[in-house]
Amino acid sequence: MFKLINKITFYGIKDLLRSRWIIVYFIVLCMITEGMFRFSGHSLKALSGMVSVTIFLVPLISIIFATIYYYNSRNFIELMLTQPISRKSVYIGLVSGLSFSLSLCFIFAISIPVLWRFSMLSGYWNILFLLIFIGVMLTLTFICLAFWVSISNEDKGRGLGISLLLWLTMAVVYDGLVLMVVILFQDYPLEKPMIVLMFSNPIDLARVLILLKIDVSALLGYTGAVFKSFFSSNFAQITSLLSLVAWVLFPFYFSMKKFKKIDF
Amino acid sequence: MITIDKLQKSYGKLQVLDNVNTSIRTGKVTVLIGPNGSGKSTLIKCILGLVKPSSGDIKVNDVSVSSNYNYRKDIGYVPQYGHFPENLLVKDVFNLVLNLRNGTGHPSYGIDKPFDLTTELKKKIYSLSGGTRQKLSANLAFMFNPQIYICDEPTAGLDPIAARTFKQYIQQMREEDKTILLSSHVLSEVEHFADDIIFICEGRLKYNGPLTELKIQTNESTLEDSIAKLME
Ligand SMILES: Nc1ncnc2c1ncn2[C@@H]1O[C@H](COP(=O)(O)OP(=O)(O)OP(=O)(O)O)[C@@H](O)[C@H]1O
Ligand SMILES: [Mg+2]
Repeated sequence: MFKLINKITFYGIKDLLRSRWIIVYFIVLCMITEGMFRFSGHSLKALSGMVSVTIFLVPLISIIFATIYYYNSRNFIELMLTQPISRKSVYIGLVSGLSFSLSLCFIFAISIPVLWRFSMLSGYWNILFLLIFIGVMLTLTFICLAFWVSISNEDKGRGLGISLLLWLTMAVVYDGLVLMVVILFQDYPLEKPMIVLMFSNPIDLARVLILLKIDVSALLGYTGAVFKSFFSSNFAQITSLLSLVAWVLFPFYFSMKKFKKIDF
Repeated sequence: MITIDKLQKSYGKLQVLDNVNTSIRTGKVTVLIGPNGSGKSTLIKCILGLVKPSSGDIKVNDVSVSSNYNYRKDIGYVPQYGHFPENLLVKDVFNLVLNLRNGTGHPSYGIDKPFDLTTELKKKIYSLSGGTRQKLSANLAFMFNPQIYICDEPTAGLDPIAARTFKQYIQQMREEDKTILLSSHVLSEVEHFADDIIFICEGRLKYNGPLTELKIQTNESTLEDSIAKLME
């Protein structure tokens, strides 16, 4: 089974590398990183600039790219499913091909501009690694979410629309809602609900996790204080890293279950 | 032997297959007929595992298809509409399937059987004519010399010569005691090699048994007339 999954994975990677868009993604990301370092002149500032890119752009590109990829692969999927291949292998092969391609793209696009300035980064390596970890986790999460959406919707246009909405909700709307909760319930103790809210959105979780390392002042006022005290413990930090991993595993698992059930 | 037991399939509220019970005999040609939208392709896709039944069970050589995928190595499937990655060359599709099947089979094996596709190998899938696509599906199905052939309107897009070639192949497979399930709307062309008939109408079996018996039962001399009588 693993041999088969590898074959499908490699086939997917080969297919993806032929597509222009992944190259465009790589170049744009690389240029943004380079630009951040060049124009901010300060590694820490550049890194916090990269946080926004990682938090907003990476999930957006991942979810759109993966949605389109799934619909474009439907013929390939159908062909494979007429062969003695399990749905599980097909699913894992597709997801891992896409995951490898997009993750490597992200890792290289971030690393190459950094390697020029090896010495400038002394002292910030842990932030860089955290950034890369978060970027990769978000990439994987949003690939799996994209699969979940596209497997559940036969129509490509609809699937793409839902994917976009999902990203918009998690990246933008969610924050507004959280802010509303804070304002509406400011007279109540909000620590626990806030932390629960944060764990229920991987983008929020990722942002808080890295901003605490870079620039605590970006987490304004009350929420900032709540998170700062919460994250000061090792336990909380490890829990949040694991939660990011869980945010990959759950969508991965539920999409797979769905994939095993649908009709072709 | 393929046995189908209390098979039900619905898409939302639309009941497409309703309590289908039948078996497809080993070494025989079973022809699946029925009006458009009666559920023929759905039934075939259930056997392939492409469509998941709402309830009921299908066994291929005593193995339930719901819990297994290996049984498909014994099946050559010619779909009504072949789906291939559109950007690949024809030869890439052969190689891909060969590769996924662990290369059991010879690379040149599928390319001239039943149809000679040597002149098409360097064409992209999206540029193929409808009939050539159909031929590609057929060749892929025959490539691994399977025990079971399942063909969904295999001759629908083919020119008369190609259709004749295909039917000769089916005849040959029949002589080699392969199990063949074939759906078709052209009753006259399947009549001379059909052993069994499954006639399906709005998802229910209207007739299921040997062709000879059908003719006796309806007191008609051709398959076409027998079906017409059943439809009355
Ligand atoms: N994916 C699907 N979603 C919803 N309904 C479907 C789907 N696939 C098939 N159907 C419906 O199921 C019914 C049976 O379709 P099927 O393709 O099995 O018919 P068929 O007997 O093969 O017809 P034809 O002779 O035209 O090929 C039709 O009413 C069709 O609209
Ligand atoms: Mg059909």
